[in-house]
Amino acid sequence: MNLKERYVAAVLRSIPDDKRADVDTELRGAIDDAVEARIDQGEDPDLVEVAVLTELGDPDRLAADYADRPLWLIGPTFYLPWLRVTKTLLKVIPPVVGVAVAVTNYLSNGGLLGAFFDGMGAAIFAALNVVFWATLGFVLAERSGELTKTDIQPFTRKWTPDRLPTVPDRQIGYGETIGSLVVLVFVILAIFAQRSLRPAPFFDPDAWGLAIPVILGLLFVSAGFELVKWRVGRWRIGLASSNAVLNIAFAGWWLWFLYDGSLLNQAFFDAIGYPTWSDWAARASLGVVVVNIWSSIEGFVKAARATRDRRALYQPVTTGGRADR
Amino acid sequence: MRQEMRRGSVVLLCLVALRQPDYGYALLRSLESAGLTTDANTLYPLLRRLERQGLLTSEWVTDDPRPRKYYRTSAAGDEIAALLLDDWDAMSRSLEHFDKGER
Repeated sequence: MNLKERYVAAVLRSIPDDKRADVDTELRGAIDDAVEARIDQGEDPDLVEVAVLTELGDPDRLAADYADRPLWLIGPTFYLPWLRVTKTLLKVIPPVVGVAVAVTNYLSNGGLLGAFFDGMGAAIFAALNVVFWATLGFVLAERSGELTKTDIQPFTRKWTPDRLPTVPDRQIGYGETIGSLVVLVFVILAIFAQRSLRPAPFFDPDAWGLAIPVILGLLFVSAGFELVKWRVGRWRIGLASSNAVLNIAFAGWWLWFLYDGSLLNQAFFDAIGYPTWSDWAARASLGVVVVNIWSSIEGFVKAARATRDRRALYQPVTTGGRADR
Repeated sequence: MRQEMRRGSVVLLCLVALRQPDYGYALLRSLESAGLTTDANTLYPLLRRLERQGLLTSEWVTDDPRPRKYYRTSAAGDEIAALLLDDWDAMSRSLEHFDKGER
């Protein structure tokens, strides 16, 4: 089989049956015509065929052009819808799956670390599946002749200004601040109130020497921080960092004094019939650490979002103005 | 950018040139000698697409030296060509104005 035959065969491979004979004859004719013309012009006959076929290019590409097949997975029509759908699904499905798996694993096996890693694994697996199936769906839509733009209206309807995302005046809202302050006040009051808990207070009475004053201090600092957050109005790197430091302080306080033995009242646990509370302590500690890590990360994420939104709203400096200062 | 402009005008070129029936390679050569070089791997699929859209008709002529598929502009193709030529003239005149600095 010579070069021309191989080339034509390669092109015809992906041409639909009903067009094959036609393309076959025309393509051969085209190659022969080109070769003949070049030889007439005095080119070296041995090199001419190679030159002609090189000019015709990749047979797969030629075949795709002949058959009017798109040489992309998802084209301009479906790209943005695909991106938006995938992002939305990724925000919802993997977290739900991850949490569900972690919880069921924990309930059946009881190991915290195992449950966590299983949950993570499940979430990653779910994420990969989401991306694959969403992409596949849109690839099929792209290739389906019947699906026109109007058919999948909800995804590709014409954009109107009312679809603009809203940018709130302040990122840190009044409700958020007031709520946090109320919770802090409640916690402070609860710490004082638990002294008269019957049959035994939750916190070790000796903790009033150091641990409790420290946490009260941290809580007051937290309250002050909430006011600072409210005053600034939106998250910034400085706020996010301070938030993280505060979270570390809280987690540190819990872990230090808990494992020091001076925080919780043994009498309390004896009274509720749960004398060896070490495994409860482990679970509670993991919870405390996770919550604080989450809050810290959230702070930075919100700061990044605030910076991005602010840049979008930034007004360019107009000429004149300060120049005459 | 030059490629883009050429790509934009090759459809009109074919519709106008094929008022006289011709086959792929011959059309390629006549476009070339008119200074409007096109790639073979662009032209052949394009002719097929225009035929599919009803703007060209085709006919196999089994003369020597080899069978050749002759394309010719259809009635619908002629209508579209007329429209496109009007657009082309209008654009050409506007371009002249801009080029001369008029608005």
